[in-house]
Amino acid sequence: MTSSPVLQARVFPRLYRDSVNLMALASALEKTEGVIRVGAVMGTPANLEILARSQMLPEELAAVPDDLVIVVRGVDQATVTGALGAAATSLTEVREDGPASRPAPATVAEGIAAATKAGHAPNLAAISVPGTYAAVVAEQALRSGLHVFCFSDNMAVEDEVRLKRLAVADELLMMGPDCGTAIVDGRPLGFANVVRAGSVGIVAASGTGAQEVSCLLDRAGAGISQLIGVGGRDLSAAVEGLMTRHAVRLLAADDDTEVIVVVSKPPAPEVADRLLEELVRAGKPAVACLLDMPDAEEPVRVRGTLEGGARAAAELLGLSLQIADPPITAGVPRQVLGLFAGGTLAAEAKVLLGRAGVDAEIIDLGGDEYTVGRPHPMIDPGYRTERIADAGSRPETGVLLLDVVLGHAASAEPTLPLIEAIEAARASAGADGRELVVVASVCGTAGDPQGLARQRELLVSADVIVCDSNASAARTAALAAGAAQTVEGELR
Amino acid sequence: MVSFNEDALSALVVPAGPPPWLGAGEVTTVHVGQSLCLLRRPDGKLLPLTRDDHGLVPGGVLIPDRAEFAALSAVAAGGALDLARLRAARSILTRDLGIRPGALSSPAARLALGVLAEEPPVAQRRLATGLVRALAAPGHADLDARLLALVGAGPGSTPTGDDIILGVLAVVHRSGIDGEAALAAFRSRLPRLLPRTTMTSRHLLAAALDGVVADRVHEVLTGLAEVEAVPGLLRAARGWGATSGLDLVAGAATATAGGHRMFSAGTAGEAGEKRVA
Amino acid sequence: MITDGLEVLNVGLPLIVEALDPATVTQLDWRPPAFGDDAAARAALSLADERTRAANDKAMDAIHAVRPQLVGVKPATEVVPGMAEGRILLHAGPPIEFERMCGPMRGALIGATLLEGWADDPDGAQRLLASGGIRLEPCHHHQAVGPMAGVLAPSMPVLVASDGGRSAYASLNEGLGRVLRFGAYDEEVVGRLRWMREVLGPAIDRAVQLRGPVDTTALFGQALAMGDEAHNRNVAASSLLARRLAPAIATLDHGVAVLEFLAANDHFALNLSMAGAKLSMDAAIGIPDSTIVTAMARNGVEFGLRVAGTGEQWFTAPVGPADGLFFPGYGIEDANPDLGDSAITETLGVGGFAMAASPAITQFIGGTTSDATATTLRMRRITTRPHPAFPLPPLNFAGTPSGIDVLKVLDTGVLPVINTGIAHREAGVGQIGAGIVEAPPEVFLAAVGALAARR
Repeated sequence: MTSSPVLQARVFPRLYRDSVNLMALASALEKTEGVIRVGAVMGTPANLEILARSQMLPEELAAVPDDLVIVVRGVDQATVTGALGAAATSLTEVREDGPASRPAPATVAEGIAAATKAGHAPNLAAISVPGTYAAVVAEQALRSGLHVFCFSDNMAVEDEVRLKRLAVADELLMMGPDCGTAIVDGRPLGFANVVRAGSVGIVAASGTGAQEVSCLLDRAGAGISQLIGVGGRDLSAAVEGLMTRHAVRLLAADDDTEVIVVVSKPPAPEVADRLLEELVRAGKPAVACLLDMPDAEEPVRVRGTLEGGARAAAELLGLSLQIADPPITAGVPRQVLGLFAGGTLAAEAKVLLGRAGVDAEIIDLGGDEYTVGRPHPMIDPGYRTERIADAGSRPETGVLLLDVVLGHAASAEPTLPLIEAIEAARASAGADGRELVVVASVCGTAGDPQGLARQRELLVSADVIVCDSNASAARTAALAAGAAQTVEGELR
Repeated sequence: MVSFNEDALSALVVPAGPPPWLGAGEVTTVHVGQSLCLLRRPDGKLLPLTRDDHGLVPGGVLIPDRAEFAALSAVAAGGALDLARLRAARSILTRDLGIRPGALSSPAARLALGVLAEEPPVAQRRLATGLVRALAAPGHADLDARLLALVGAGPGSTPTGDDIILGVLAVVHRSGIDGEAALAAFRSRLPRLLPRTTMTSRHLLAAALDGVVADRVHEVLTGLAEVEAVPGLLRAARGWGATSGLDLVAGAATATAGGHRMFSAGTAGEAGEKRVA
Repeated sequence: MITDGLEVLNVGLPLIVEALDPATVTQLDWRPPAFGDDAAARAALSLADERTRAANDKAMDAIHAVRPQLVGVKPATEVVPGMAEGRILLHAGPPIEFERMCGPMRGALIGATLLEGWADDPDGAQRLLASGGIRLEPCHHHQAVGPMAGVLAPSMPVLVASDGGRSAYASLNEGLGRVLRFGAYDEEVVGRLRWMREVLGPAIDRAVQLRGPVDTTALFGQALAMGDEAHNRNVAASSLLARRLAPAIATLDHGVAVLEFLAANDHFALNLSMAGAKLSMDAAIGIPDSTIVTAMARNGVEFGLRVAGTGEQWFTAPVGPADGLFFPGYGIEDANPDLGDSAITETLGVGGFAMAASPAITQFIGGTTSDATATTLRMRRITTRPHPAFPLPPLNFAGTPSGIDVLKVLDTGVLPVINTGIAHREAGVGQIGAGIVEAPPEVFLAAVGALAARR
């Protein structure tokens, strides 16, 4: 004998919950075995009427508009009771887990205990506290068996070496210090772009270098398996590339990785040799993208620009990276002023402009001397926009070179403030009868939250010459600043 | 790389006019969410703190720095937020949330409605058409019934019906002189219905009657000004609340598409475009 | 794949992990460890290992196994080590010279000197003390503890709390008002002390002999379930003790006077609570590598800390006045810096640590009842185990947090709280309020350095 369906409701007085949570709750409840229908609405007269019209309003239900009403129709009482109980738990669980009633864990040990209890035992610690404490937190994390992503900089080199040795011994990653970018198992940490999943594994001692290479690979149709940051100092003589080599070994053993790319500013010579040996030992096609080093093919492909490195890696997968420098007329010789948010992008530009023999002042506004007491330009464009606006009053500056970096953690609206500043700069230059050429590249992908196309359009609408890579922008700026038109390939 | 020892908020954005904390006294915390932290003043008014992705809302404060927003939310969740912290921000920017008359594009509106028609149905959205027709009818005969069916109706902590009314109201304000009769109709009929809905909706609808709406609603108006902007608008709006964003668009687009009929005092303009001031 | 699904512990800016599914991120409410002292943080980290954990387990086993019994009341000179001969007075807190002592403590020493007959008048007593004619040493060095000024003289009767071969001692509580422990030394005070020596002490001793030893753990465990916290709220324990001994006291000469004294003294049991705590904590002194705190004590000028692994060494730091609720007419400007050995109760895990069981205490020290619960919960973060013998009914009978770990104090930045009475800075005025203090961070920083140096 079947029992007739049961209808029951619970009213949660003055309970406020995000609509998304409510929807998820209602949806989860409706999927429960035996549940026929669920209503999860605010107790407004209109909603009670709607419930009534669909026979979903129990008699004697009293509610006011700010009350949350959960109604369940189910095959029997047990089902309905269970579902309402689950709803109550889910709603009040959220409340109890809120910061109001249980203080958030404050130490690594407490955090691991709390997360494990919630069924999400951590396997990686992301650290962005002041450098001297970062060493303590990182050690606590490594000793607890967690990988480490360390965004903090200003850690003593002795600490970095000790921690990396500890990590390598325990088969853990110590990404950093001074590591801004990583993509682990497809999950982005820090400043990372939304790139396609694929078979290129990147090991990067440089944040924006990794971002540019990964975006260009995405452009060529390739994808990323892992992006392991190692921190800016890993390939120095003091640290000896400890983590870079460990990461290369890890990627060598990783089934998802077919091509290995290492991205860095030039390492110390003996460190470079050991690195190339490790890449050979890895036994997979590899590219060492080491800024400003001369191109080489043996024992491993070496490229001296980010664009070149990305191109070589794409070719290893049978893909081609198409970058067309915009056609521009060569200008009269004048100075290029580069105002960069990305350190390695600035370095790449400096190399290329140096090779072109152009008078250039390239400033990395993310560098230490500019970020004391100020947010990083990738997070907040304020200081950079001031410098851009001022550029209009510098008579020697004829070309302004910029990078715009998109992706997670970067400013949600990076371009609009730049455009305003550019217009101000053009106005002051124009008042003096001078022309200001502005060249930029946008490091990003279509999938990035800021929207690559939109950012490029905004720049174009402000008469900025937009290039497809940072290297292309540097070449274009060089031409605009009067560099001699060279044989194709030489500037590259 | 970033500064760690900041006690003062670096910047915040408030609506033009007296700052929301003026005369507020001690606030209680109603809700702490991902991008919205809802406070209530002793006089009953709401003081919403929002994150950059939520945008500024009437009577609220926008905290652009996510870390600072998270820190403030945590303090508010403990029930101990002192509004002096807001007052002491190093930089306070104002943003005018008032709606100025401006352009709307019927083709854009129809495009939006077409896309919405493909979405999973949300009951109250159909009622948008009825509301707009009622505004177009002489004497606004049916308007009370339409509003009654919409206020507080539907899913969400700001019920769908309210978001639809917000969208329509926004377009009425956008239409300037042409919307005056419709605006008067709302002003005479809507206030008495406000107790039939949640406090958040009341807060937003009351402000909307005065032509003051949240950043997101402004985004809807901008997105409906030209066809090219519609896909971007829809993509963004899908992420607002559970259905809130698309409900707003539905209300505003319905009002825009029906605009030249909606405003009984309206001038025709060019076919397909309604431009005002 | 590097993981089976990335799950992140975020220490710092939420920005770093904003692209991740929030369900997979645990955000720490992080603040710099070791109160910002980087060297101490590293020392603490170097000690956070199995060796320390094992030593702490051993220490907690020893502490929680102690079952103090009140076995009698005897003159200090007969039972307290080092008080049999010569002129010696004991005081609360870490060692300190007479010249540096605070007003209430000097007053109490003057009163004790008069009680012993070593001087005829207060000025004479003062001169004798200033000249070094009397040895002045901490109670703690003689297996004793004393509340507020904590002055113990050889002829004073002391409670004897014993377990197995070990004993600890504390004076008898005089009551409130103008009393020795707040620095009063007039004829009323000294007269009462004589009465306690001649009548009260012997009477209670006789009652204990007649009725049998009193198990203090059971007594205070029961009291905690009745709203006491065994430091600043003792009315239940005092009542239970009086009820236990009353039938015997009633049969003695002066029995009625003694009973009336007990009935009027809500804090009589405090000194017994302290003696029992002292006996328990001393079981851990000297256990190598252990980072468990064995004593917290104040002398009105300095706060002193002792840790199991560093034995009898004191770590001290200047101490200030407690803030809390003041009696009408008084304020913090009148308050003496924190004073007394009674923080031994918090060291064991009662007192401020058991506040959840004693919400009424908030009427005296300030705050709300949810603050009281929150305090106990906060103390859990810096302690090692719940004390099995002291369950707290409002927390589902969970044992009170016990065993302060120096490393946890440094890691969390949470300092032990102490419920305390506040004395007037002038000798003899008495109590002017009650409040909560936190132990100063410096003593923990000093302790971790010493512990690390021993490795």
